This record gives sequence, C-alpha cells and structure tokens, in this order.
Amino acid sequence: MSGWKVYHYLGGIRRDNVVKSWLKNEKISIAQIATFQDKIDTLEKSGPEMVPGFITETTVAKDIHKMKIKGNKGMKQLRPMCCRGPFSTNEYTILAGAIEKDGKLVPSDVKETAQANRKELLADPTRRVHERLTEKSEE
Amino acid sequence: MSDLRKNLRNEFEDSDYRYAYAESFLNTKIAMQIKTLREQRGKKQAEIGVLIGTKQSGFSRFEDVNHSVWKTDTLWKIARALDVRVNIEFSSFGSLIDEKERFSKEQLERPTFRDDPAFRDPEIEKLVTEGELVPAGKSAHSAEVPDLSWLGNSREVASRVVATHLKQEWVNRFASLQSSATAAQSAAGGTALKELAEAKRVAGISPQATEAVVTPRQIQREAEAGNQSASDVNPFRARVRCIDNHRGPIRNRSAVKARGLNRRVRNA
Repeated sequence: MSGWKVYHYLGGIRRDNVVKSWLKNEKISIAQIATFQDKIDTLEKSGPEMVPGFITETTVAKDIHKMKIKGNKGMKQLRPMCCRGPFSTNEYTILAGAIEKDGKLVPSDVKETAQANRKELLADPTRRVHERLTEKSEE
Repeated sequence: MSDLRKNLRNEFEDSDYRYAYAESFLNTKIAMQIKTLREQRGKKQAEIGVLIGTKQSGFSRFEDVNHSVWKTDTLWKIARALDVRVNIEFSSFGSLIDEKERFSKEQLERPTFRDDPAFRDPEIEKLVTEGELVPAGKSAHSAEVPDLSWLGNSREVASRVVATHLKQEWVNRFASLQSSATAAQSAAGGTALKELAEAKRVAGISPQATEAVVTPRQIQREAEAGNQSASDVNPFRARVRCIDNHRGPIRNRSAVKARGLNRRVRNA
C-alpha cells in the first residue's frame, strides 16, 4: 500500500477545518463532495501518480499546488490549494479552498492565504487533521 | 473490515453521494488505464493521438481524471490504438470497494492481442519453453555462437556466419570480395584469422566459409542485382528454414514472426 495521507488545515483561534468550512460556505453539493473524497481516497490508497490531473505537478505559488475537481453543468469548479508535506514526503495538506470562475480563482488571494497557513502549520504541527470530508468534526 | 469500507458504508447511504463517488472513480479508472496501457506499450501521447485522429493536446485530456464525458466510439478508437477491447458492464456498489482496494498500475495493465496467452499457439509455446525460440531483441546468437566481438558487432558477424553457412552457393558469388575481406582481417592481426577458423570449427561451419564472409547489406545488393527477392537471401529467414529441415515445418510461422521470436542458433 502506498501509505499516503491527505490532511486538512485547522485555521483560526477555534481551529476550524478550513476545507469543511469552505465547502459549507460555498454550498458545495454532496455529489461534488463525493467526487472530491473519491480523488482523495484514491490518492491515499494508490499514490498521486494514480490520479493524474488531480494535483498540478508544478506549483502555482511557492510550495503551493492546486487541486482540480471538475464540476459538471452548473456546478462549481473546485480548486483547493495544498502543499506537499510539509512534515513528510508521503503526505499533502489542504491549506485553503477556492473556486475557479471565468478562469480566475475566487478568492483571488487564496495562494497567499495558503502560503500563510503553511507557515502557521510549520510553526504549529497540531494545526491539521486527517478526516473525511463528510465526517462531523469534534466540537 | 477496512477503514475505507467502513467509511463508505455510511457515506453510500446517500444515493447522490454513492453515484457521484462511483462516477468519479470510473473516470479515474479509465483515465489511469489509458495512461497505463500507453506506457506499457512504450508509446507517447502524440503517437496514440495520431492513431485516433487527434493531437497530443487532445489526447492528453483522456489521461486526466477530471475528464468525465466519454463517448463509446472514442473509447473504441482508443481501444483499437492500444490493441485491447472495451468492456462495459453494470456492477454492484460493493464491488467498487474491492476495485478501489486493488487499484494499481499492475492491475490495469493488459496484454496486446499478440501477447495474449489465450491466443498463443501451444506448439510455439513449447518451443519457447524449450529455448528453441527467443525474443528477437535478445540476440538469438550470443548464447551459442563463439565470441567474435574482435571482428566488430557480434550480431552482425553472426549474421554473416549464418548467411555463409546456409547460402554457400550465394556467397561463393562474392569471390571478388574475398581479397578485401582478407586484407581487413590481416590488418586486425595475424591471430585474427586463426581465431576465426576456430570459431567456424566450434560453430560447425566449413573452414572454406572464411572466404565468403559478407555483410547482409552485400547480400541485399546482390539480390537486387540478380533480381532475386531480398527475403530470399535474408540470413535470419534462411536460418529458420534450415533448422526446420531438421525438426519439421512449423505450422504457424506467421505467429512466430508476430511474437517477435527468432530461432536460436544451434551448433552443428
């Protein structure tokens, strides 16, 4: 088994799961969440080379990669930002959520946010969690 | 029960979730299998693209897990280019978990029709097992023909030796080349001729054959000059024919060729 893991960044004073908060705020449909979760499951089970096109090979900003989850008709184009590691080679951490609209990322400063969150994470390694997108977070 | 199975059991209670999850995995599987099969065949995206009538950039989207609109005629075109068939079937959701657990490059690889064990000729398989047939790329000669590397490319020399052996009547017509060949060998050193004679002896080839060392290209030229079929003087084909004389004919000769096999050179 590949032994890969995909973590979610915990942001703010309340340490909210930024990925789940973003999905909730954007009112992302359960079908798209399922698509997102499938890609993560396949990556964790078989490694990133088994999901070509899911994570950009080149960085979109320093240390930041873009995830792509295509939405069909009327659905949003999900583009969460992640980084490799940062504590081990066989892991990714999703740092911030974004959608793509008319070829532009929304919010426009998502790359900077992702970089800032990565710095925070490096300073405090407990600021991340490994859980499923549908899983209810502990209060 | 694996963690994945446990998680999906709960999540799949929602029908929208399970259908979207299954569709996503199907897209991933198709994209990944196209990529795997292309790489298994050592082809580039552009090469397969040409076969299905699209550019490299057009083909690359089929290897992206986010591609979700598959037309069956496109799948058939890709299948034809990769020498496999398309298999579409309806399955239970439970089998998806098993598929996901086993998902790997190795599990996605498929043989071409020619390499498919189901269609291999038992007679040829027996010869492969016995070592009578070897893959063409793996030098059919090196195992049993003595080392002639001091003369240059060993495969080329072996070809010459075999051609000489089997087409004596042909190579005798190259008497005019003898002087230049001998001169070249002499230039390589006095011992070279002795070693060549010893090699001929070990390979069971007449010592007189030394006089008729010619390159396949020269045979080709002579064939053209004499209006002969080039294949008629092809040393590799000639070799197969010769060995067949001892062992009887191979019924499915085209299958031997298609599998890319050569008859192993045998000492007399």
